[in-house]
Amino acid sequence: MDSRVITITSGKGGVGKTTTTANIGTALAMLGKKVAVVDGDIGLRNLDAVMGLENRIVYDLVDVVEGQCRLRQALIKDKRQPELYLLPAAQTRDKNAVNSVQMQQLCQQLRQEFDFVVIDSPAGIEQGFRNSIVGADEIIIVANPEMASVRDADRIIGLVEAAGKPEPRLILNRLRPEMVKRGDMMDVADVLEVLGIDLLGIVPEDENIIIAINKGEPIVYDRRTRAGRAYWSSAQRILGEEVPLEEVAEAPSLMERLRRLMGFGPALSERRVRS
Amino acid sequence: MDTEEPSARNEAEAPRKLERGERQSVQGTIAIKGTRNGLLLTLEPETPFGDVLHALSARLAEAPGFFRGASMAVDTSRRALQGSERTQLEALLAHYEVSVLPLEQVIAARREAQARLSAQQALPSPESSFQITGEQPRTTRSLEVSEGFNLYEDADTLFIRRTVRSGQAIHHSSNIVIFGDVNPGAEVVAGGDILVWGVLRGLVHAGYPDNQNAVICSLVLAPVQLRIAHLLSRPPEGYEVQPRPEVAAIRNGQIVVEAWVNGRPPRR
Repeated sequence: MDSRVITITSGKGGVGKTTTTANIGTALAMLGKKVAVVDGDIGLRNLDAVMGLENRIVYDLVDVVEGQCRLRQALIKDKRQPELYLLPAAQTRDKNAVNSVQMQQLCQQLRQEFDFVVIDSPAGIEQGFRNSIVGADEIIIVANPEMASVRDADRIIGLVEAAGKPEPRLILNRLRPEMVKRGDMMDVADVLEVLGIDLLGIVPEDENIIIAINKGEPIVYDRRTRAGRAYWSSAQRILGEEVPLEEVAEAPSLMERLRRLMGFGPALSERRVRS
Repeated sequence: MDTEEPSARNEAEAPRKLERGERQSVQGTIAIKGTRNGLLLTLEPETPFGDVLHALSARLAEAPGFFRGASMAVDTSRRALQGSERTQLEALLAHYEVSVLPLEQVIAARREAQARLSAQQALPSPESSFQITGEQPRTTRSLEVSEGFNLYEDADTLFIRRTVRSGQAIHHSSNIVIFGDVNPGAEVVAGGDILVWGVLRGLVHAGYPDNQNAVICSLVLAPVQLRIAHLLSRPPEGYEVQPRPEVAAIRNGQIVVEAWVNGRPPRR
């Protein structure tokens, strides 16, 4: 089987890795793929809650790795998608409970059962992060259009390259079009100018996401929302479909851009978004 | 040559895309070789010092018996060591009872070998020294620092064909040429000049530790901080990044930035 292991990571915390993992995983399942989403954030698990599966956990990733149970026993079937499974993280352990070799083996095992394995990476660049990328074929970086997030993303891209992985793709999350229009937020071109990687999707800031998370229901189910549509089209692009990027905001004037970009340099290139 | 930005970017990008993946292995951080005068430790220019130290520590721990009582020289001809780094390195070696040989012996040995090579190479005249023409692409000679400045005569310019990203450190005792950007959080330290064919947004230190003739050039100069030799400068508050190639050099005891016209080096 030609399965793909995709890790969602960011370096910085709070940029939307877990939400992205849940939505990409769900969307891929809705698009007819057999998908496992894996919570790599051992000790700070959240993916189960975001997917509304928290109350079904019996075994977790650490149990599988330590041989306490079989992989099948730990996999939780999604409420709505018959071909979507969650492998939850342990909450009472920490990142060092698993090593890279074990993680590699786990990925191999999952590959045999699924078309897609989507791994939610913890924040940071330590063991937990390294574990989450060791078995990955592809990496997706989630970044917000703000300086701290972009710098951390840049750091992560360097580490991903150093680990011998192919160039990651970017999901730009929590973009606020009105702010970009006013020139108060970095726009897509600014971020791409620094990171220099291909764009997989742009997800606008959307209150509906918070509502969806609280309900434990990924927002891709509701494609009337902008964020829902953005995740949906990102998943389609992962499958190789040519979907045009939604135009989220017009770019600010050059003067505005120059004024606010000290430290990041002006967006000079005509680098266009590739989908 | 009034460089059009978009085309300049593309040129910068082409080699980067091409050579992507060719570089970067964290494994080859250090090399220990046996020589007539003892062991020779060579450090990679492109790894953060922490990793270098870690690798060395691991190597020493593998066979403490083998290293005990050995004498070792640290070859810094490829990588510049800062004061505190040298102290840490020596402390680590001392812990394993390795005595540190003076560097000169190593350099002398290298010089000999290099002398044979350079006998065949005529140096270009100082006037043409910094021109980046199509004639002499990628040779060390075309980037040689002018006026009998021979500290780096055996200099091997380090070429980096990718973007240097946050957290990546490049230390090299000679010139560094980067086809790509230098992003915020990256650190580039060169004994000689630094040329960035891309946007410079990180921290660069040319002429480390005391080469005041060193220059820094880039297509767009938007650094966090510039350092040349012992001097340090920050862009002034409210400074607007100029969308044109610029050169930074030491003039009258301070770092001065000016437009990089016609690819000529700045007046010294």
